Amino acid sequence: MAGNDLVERYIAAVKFWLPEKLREDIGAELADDIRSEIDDAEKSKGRPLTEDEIAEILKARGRPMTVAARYQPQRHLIGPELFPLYIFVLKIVAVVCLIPPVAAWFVWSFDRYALPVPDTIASPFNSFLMAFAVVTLVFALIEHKGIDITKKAEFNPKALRPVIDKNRIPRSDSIGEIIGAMIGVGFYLAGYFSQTTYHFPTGGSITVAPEWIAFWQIIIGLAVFDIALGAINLFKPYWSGPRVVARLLLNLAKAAAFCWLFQSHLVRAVDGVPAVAASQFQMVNDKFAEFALPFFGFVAAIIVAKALWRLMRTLKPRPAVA
Amino acid sequence: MWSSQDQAVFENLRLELRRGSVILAVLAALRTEQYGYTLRKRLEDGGMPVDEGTLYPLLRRLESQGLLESQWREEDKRKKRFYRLTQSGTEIFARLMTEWQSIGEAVAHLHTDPGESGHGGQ
Repeated sequence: MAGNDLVERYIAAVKFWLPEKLREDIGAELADDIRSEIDDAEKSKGRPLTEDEIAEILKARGRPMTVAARYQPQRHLIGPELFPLYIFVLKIVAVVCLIPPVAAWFVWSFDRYALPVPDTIASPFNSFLMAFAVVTLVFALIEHKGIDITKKAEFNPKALRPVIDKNRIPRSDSIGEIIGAMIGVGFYLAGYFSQTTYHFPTGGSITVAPEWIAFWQIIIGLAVFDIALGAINLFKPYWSGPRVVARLLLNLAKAAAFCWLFQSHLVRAVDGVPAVAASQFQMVNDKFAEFALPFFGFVAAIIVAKALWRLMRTLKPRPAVA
Repeated sequence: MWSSQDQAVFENLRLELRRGSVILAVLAALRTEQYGYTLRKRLEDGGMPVDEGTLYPLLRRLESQGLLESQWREEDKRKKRFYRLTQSGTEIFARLMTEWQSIGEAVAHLHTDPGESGHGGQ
């Protein structure tokens, strides 16, 4: 009978997707269930079902592979308990993979012949891919072997880290900023930054560019703003939009001042030291002048990124404080 | 009129709610021995229809957990697998029913008595 043949074919197709040890057992039970349903339908209709009607019953049960899948345990490479730890480790790995190329870029920016940068910069993707495979394999093995790495130590709620409000400005930071700026102002007022020639205690002297004096005037001017901002932050220790922008502008201004200073070939003359040392001074001086601008770009990018991150945090609601 | 998103959310929650109840319904129905198809009919007639793709894997799981036992026997010239509660299944079912009733009472209580609209119990 065509209907029976259809059921047999359906059962065989389901069995194909089942593990061998379950095939006969599940196949027999499924076959009985389908035939019972057909018997029931035939009784109520008072006639045998047509092939199309049987096909409809089978269709309603779903595709053989889907039916077989329901009998199998849920499979995952890394289970829900380990998954957060797995993602955490992957994030660390991603950061670690980024460090060598960034360092290489940094070195390369000073000496273009030191490293074959295109390869080095291209490598983070490969190294992350490799690390991803290894980490996944290790976690899959831990999962597969049922090694319990998350519950070994008894959970102690008291050992949980306190909630850190990332929007809060630590008072120690504000105090540090104020003290640092005041020391700078103090040195300036004492006249340490109002000259261009400095004498070594052991004899000899170093002469710096006239920009040195202007640079410190700018820095001291900015220090006054630093002190004011530090004082506000000390008493209202949460970042706000205007204060983030103020900090951004101050930091960018300071970075730009340093860039300008180094571009001016800061060291003009070194007297009373061996010729080799003087030439080394000069070489470093030239390098600083040459790479001041790209370095400023790099620092400025970090400053802007940090400010954006702070701005985004200010938009988030602050956690409830008891 | 519900949006399709509301409908989808409702369906998900309804399925979650049903998932635990299906186990209780199956255990309740298997206090008397039955084979798969009659069990399915019984559940359907009792207002708890369960499709075979859910029922049979569930029966296997409950059997592997020791709550059910099964036996192949011939009936109406066909081999059928009969299920029934084990002793441990009976005991666990009784405890689950108590738990279920207390959950139902708690939810009903919360539903009828929404409580004070305080902030943190103030």
